[in-house]
Amino acid sequence: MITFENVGLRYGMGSEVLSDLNFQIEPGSFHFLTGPSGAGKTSLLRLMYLALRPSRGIMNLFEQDVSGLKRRDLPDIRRRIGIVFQEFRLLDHLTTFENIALPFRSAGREVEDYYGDVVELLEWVGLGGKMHALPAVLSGGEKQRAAIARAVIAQPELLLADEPTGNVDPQLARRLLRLFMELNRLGTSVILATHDLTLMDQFDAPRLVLDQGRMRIYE
Amino acid sequence: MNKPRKIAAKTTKVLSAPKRTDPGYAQAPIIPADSVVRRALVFVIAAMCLLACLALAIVLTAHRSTERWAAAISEEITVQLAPSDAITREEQMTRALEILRGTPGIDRANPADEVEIRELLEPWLGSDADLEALPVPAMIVIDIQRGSPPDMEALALRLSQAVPGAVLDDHRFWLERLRTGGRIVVWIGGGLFVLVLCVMVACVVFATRAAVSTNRDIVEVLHLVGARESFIAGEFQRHFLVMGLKAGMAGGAGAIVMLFVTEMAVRRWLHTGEGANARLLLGDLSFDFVAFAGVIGIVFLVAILSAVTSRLAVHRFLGEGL
Repeated sequence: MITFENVGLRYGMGSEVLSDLNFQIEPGSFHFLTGPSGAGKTSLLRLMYLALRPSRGIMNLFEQDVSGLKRRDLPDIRRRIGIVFQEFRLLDHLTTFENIALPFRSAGREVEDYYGDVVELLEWVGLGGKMHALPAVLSGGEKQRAAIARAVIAQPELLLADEPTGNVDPQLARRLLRLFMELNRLGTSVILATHDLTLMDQFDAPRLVLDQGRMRIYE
Repeated sequence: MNKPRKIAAKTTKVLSAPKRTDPGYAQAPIIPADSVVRRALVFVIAAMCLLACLALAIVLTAHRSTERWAAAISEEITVQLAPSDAITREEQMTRALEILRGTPGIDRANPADEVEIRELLEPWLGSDADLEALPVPAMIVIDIQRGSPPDMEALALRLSQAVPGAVLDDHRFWLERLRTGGRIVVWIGGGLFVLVLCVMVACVVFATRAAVSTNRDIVEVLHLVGARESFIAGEFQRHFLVMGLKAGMAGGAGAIVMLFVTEMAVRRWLHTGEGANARLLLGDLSFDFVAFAGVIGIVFLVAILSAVTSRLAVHRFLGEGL
């Protein structure tokens, strides 16, 4: 699904923030991505959701060399990827329903087509009663569940989560982890970036450990 | 990979198709209108629309006057009979009329009576002038056939040879100058019209870029959920189309009111003695169906230009590597 071969990344003319990355992500797998702050976790995720391109090396995503992708190809690739951020990135003027439905709406689908799916997913993540609430009135946990729901509503093959438990308490972090595990069990590949060792100890999954831009893999 | 169905199986709730009255059916715009449309921009576009409408009115008035002068060239000429020692005024008139009425291409040739001559001279000599004491030439007004006018040079030569003191005045020299002046006004008005639209387009480009910058977070989220640039551009375009239509209607309405008031005021003035000369130049100033259709056309043009400009600006902005 994802292959990195000698991938390096630098911003502008600066030194490399990621160096000589070599790894593969298989379909249906679950990986933790960890490392100290500033190790390059977010940069690596940005490479994976095509917000950045490698400065060198070969990166294949869904069996396509990303160096050959044109701008017009990016939306189709991104629709196969769900992304969850620590800061949620919900649109404040849209309701929970509208935020979660955003991938469908931006794909030009009519509300009749996806209304049922969105309502079902809202129930599944425990936000059935907050369907018409704006993000401003949601708690941190509810916002994160809404963000996760938005990421998975279009059935992505790959789910990337960047510190999704960073803004929630440990109890809720465990609930969110179970949500990711359940999505993985249903077939989605998950890469969960975190530096919460307690959280990682709760699920036996390979760890991609970044340190000063280089990666070690602990199976 | 059929997760939603599997997820759905976990819930017992049976969902029917949504109705238009269901909450959540009508969705808020993805790009909030308040962050795109600023009052200042609406005002600027409305003002630009108003100026464009006024420029159009200038073009139409100048064009209509030019056409009228052109028609005057081809329809009416005069013969002046200056006093001559060799021949009496009556004989001058008889000979000239004989020649004119026998010339192919002339519909009618009639002597101008004293009232008509007095009206013509009134702007220069006043209404109390004693014309008997002045060497005022006699005048013959000639209507010519528009399709087959007479040979003016040959006619002038015949008149000057047969009638001492007779001068054929086909007004061509002055009317050609007026026509040229009219054309220049049309071109200036057209130039103003294009300039105003260019300024409006530039305003919309700046406003669109500002709007995309303001909404950068939303645009990034849209990118991340797989929205195509055409979709994102369409979201901005919709706002600018509505704004352009509203601003255009405001500007167009303002222009119609201004044209109506101007027409009323100018009509009154043209029918006074002071406005008589202007009336000769402009005719009865009126903004007819063409002018109002033009205003409506400009309103839609402004709306479409706003929408298309914003769409192109968003595409360009996104292409610069947001």
